[in-house]
Amino acid sequence: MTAYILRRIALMAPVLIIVAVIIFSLIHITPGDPAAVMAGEEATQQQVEEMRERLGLNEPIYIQFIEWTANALRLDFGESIFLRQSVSSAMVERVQPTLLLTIYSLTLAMLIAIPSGVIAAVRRNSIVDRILMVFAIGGAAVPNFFFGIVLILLFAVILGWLPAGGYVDIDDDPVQHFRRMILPSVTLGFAAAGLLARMVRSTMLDVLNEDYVRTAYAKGLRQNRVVLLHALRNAMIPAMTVLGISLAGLLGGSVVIETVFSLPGMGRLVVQSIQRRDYPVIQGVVLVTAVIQLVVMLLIDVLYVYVDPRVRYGSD
Amino acid sequence: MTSDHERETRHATSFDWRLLTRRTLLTRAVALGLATPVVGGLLAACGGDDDDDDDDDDTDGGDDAEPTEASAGGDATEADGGDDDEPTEEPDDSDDGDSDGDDPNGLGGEPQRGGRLIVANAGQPTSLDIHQPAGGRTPQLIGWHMFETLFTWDAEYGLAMQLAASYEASDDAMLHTISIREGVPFHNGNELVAADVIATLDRWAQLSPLGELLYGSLDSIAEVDSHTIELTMSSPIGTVPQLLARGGQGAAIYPASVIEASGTDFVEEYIGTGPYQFTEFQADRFTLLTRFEDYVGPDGEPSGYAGARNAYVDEIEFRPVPDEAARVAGFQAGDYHYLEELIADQIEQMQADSNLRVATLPPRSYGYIGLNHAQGLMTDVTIRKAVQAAMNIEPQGLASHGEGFFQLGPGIMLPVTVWDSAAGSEFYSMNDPELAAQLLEEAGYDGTPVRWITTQDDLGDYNSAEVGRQQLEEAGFEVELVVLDEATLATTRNGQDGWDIWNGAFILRTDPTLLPYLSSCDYSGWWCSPDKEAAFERLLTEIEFDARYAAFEELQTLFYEEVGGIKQQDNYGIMAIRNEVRNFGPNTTLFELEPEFTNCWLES
Repeated sequence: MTAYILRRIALMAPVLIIVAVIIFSLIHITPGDPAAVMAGEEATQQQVEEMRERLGLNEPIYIQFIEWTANALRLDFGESIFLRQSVSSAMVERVQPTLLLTIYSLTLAMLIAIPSGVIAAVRRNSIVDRILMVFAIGGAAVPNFFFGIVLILLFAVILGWLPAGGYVDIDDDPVQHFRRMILPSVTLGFAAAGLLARMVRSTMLDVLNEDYVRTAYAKGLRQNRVVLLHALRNAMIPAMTVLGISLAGLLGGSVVIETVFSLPGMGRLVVQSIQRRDYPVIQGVVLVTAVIQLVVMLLIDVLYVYVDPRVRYGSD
Repeated sequence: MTSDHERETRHATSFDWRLLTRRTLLTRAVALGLATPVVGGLLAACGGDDDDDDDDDDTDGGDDAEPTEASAGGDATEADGGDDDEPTEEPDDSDDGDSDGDDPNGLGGEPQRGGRLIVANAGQPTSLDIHQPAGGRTPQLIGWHMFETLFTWDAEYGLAMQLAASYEASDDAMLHTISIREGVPFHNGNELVAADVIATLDRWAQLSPLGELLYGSLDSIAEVDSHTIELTMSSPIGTVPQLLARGGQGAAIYPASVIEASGTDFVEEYIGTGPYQFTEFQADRFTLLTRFEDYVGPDGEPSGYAGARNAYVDEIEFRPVPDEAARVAGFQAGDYHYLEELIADQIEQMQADSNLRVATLPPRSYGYIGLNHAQGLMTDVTIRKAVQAAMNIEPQGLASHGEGFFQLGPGIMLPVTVWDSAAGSEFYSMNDPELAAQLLEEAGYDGTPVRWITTQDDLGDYNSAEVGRQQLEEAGFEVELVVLDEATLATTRNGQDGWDIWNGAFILRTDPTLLPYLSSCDYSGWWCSPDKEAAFERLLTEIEFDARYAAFEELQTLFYEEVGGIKQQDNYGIMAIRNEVRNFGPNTTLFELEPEFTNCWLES
């Protein structure tokens, strides 16, 4: 097992190098110049040129790449062109909203999806199943931004119960923090819950038809015990993959939700950086996101072993 | 950049004031006894007198104020007194015109101190360093609460003194003496002295096109005493105060120590003399300004940016909310008091909300189609004339801003300024595809596609380009609409390759020397001709307003005759503010330039 994990970690290096090269090339091939964006529509050519000079954008590309790679290896992603702060500190400042939003929305998603999926499977084809699955499909099908805006209109504009957006640090004012995080968490949570509930339902259905479930019933166990202890644990394995993918995706920042709810998170940072052609930030965020994806996937794979004893990696 | 594109001006109208064209303004002005010659009078009408009032209280007194008028506006000499109150009468008119009977300015009541005013910005500025070409309105909206200039504009776009106490120009406009008010503290506690002004201007000249213009004619700048500077010119220049006045990339006065530390890089510390001081900035979250308790401003009735700047509100928080729907929702939910940039679709539902004041205002920007004179098809003036002949501006305005949110007019200076002119109007919105086809034939056009670059990041601009493309095609052009993202568009437009036409917008300028396509042969489009340069030289160096206006009219005529670019429609401005913000509206601040939250208060 340890050897497997080490091998997986070693394999991350080439993946990250490929990601770094691709992202660096892509954004430098893409036309658009941060100096022109910053200088604005009404700036003269000379002003843009001076801005380029001041921003140090006139270095040849290969030198920029070598410098960036050398620094990135020391976890120094350089300075943001637009924000005029280090990319690392720009990311650190934006980790909290993204991380907490991920935790809240995934917790919510699990709280909704697992019971719904289980109930729907156990009572398959009943009216309860149908209703739950309509919600699940709805949750997965309705676009995030639309659902978010509907929630804002209803709870912020019409009812005035919650703020429409913005972010307050949890340590500054927990009450305001939660008030502001409710709507985005619900928006994201419902979307994730839809997919997860469908997954739990279908895997539960498979598992409920397995011999060992029939055996469990045959030996006289109650339904709750069979479903929760015998079936659910096995049904959760594929669901864990879905959850893992959602987690990795959300940790990279939910672009749409952070924009709609004005949350200063990683997603908004990367989108704005692309619009501004803030190369160091894009590179840094993409690289960090790739690391997050790889680590989360590794963790999921490792977790399989604990959830499902049948899973074995490597020779040991 | 986006904010320059003036999305906010695509708006609805709700009361008569917004439709106040220059003509109606002039009619009213005459009715109110405003003296002619109106063009000059309008600019200076209020300024001169306010200046007198302001400066009489200062060290140098009224005598010094006189020369300001004389050259600050050349124009100002033509102004006459007694109309200071004219602009404040305007709101009453406008109020009457409001169909809802609401007061868009939220006038009345006693000022209340306290509270935090929250503004939703359309974007986050990279810096609040006013001198830098970091585009857009947002840095201006925030920055001018902290910074001040030697001169500023009153409600009638007349020049007024802000940090200056007096101004004198020699008859030949070669020597300009400016004294500054004494006892004005910076936010760091140090007193503003002549050395700060000189350090500021030296830096500003390296960064701002206005500074470049001024320093292009400057022989030397010297400190006469601790509160007086003297500019000796190498060639006469009659617009020194205009160039030094508040505006985009204007000469905001910084302490010499801040400038020493930063050079021409972005300043690290925001220290000015304004009524609010910089307190905290968190990227993508907020910029917080708080009242500067030791503020020493000019006296006098507030008028435009001139006169007293009372900081009734304790704090002003600016939050970047780039998503339009989020901005509007937050505004309606009461999270923000004021928001930048609105689109017409949002207006109707806002007007129904009694907690909000929504008003459409006279134009604060205009649509502009740039033509690439440097390379490609548009280097041929006959082809440019064919483009001009093919243009029908009204459908372009309808597509970009919607009915009721724009007006037509040939002037390349907006009608609220004294520079409005109909020169060259026969070439404006010609809508003559036959003539265009004839010109194309004359030019031997071979069907090479015209590359029109545009972006869907700004749908108004994109829609306008789409309509323009159809009009060109009708006239016989082949057109390739090249849709780019905003950043790519910005870069492409600044290079001479790969494009023939782009379209965007210009925000309000108070003086034509501030229009980049007039002042520089280096601006995207590269319109340049000896006649243009000669006329611009006169615009810059003439002292009397009449002579300057004549030079400007010649420039505008050349703009049409040489087809420097295509002037499109004038876009109305819009204001949306929550009702609890009192004494803020079209008549309490120069909304067309950039609103300011001084002199307003939050009603508890």
